[in-house]
Amino acid sequence: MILLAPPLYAASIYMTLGRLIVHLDVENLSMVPVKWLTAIFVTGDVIAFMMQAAGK
Amino acid sequence: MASGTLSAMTTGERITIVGLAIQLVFFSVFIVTSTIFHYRMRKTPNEKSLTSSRSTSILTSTTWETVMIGLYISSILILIRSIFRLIEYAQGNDGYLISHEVFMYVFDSMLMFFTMVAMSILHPSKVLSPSNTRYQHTSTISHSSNAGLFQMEEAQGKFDSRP
Repeated sequence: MILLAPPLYAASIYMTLGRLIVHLDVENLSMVPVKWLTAIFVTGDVIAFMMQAAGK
Repeated sequence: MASGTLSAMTTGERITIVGLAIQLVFFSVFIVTSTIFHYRMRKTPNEKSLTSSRSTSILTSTTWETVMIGLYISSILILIRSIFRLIEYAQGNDGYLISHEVFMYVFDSMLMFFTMVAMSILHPSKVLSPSNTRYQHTSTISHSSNAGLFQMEEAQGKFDSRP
């Protein structure tokens, strides 16, 4: 179970960057569109989380 | 831990390794994304990014860069930790890293602990909480009128120390 903590941290870190970009009103400066930022990274994170949980 | 046959255990280990690898890939891409954003934001600052950047101490300042630094520190610590776990699992059940408990404490527990500390000190709510946004607005007004500026920033510092 100790293996599963970092993906959760990672998810909050991904979310925070998205929120920060929206807060600063600079959606145009992001490499990945903010709309997709959370979707892409958190989806990847959930997959990684599930695989680590399943394999453990 | 995977129970049952030896082959089921190996499969489980492989799944874990692939999971860790996926996490590492996404994490690396994320760090690149945030670095590019940071660079561009610095090049073209706007009104909001310059708000309340007068404080010099990292513990009391409330700039967007405070949050970015927090993100970098925790990202790098988690990255190191994931690389360690990947190597540990890749070495298998009788590997050097998994059979020496000290590595787990140093490269997992300690790194995650520092991640926790970093995220607590440089908490995103310093900048992102709605009430703080309101406060920054008031603060901007006082900047323009240039009256009561010191009290305003002092009050803001007190506000920030609240959870």
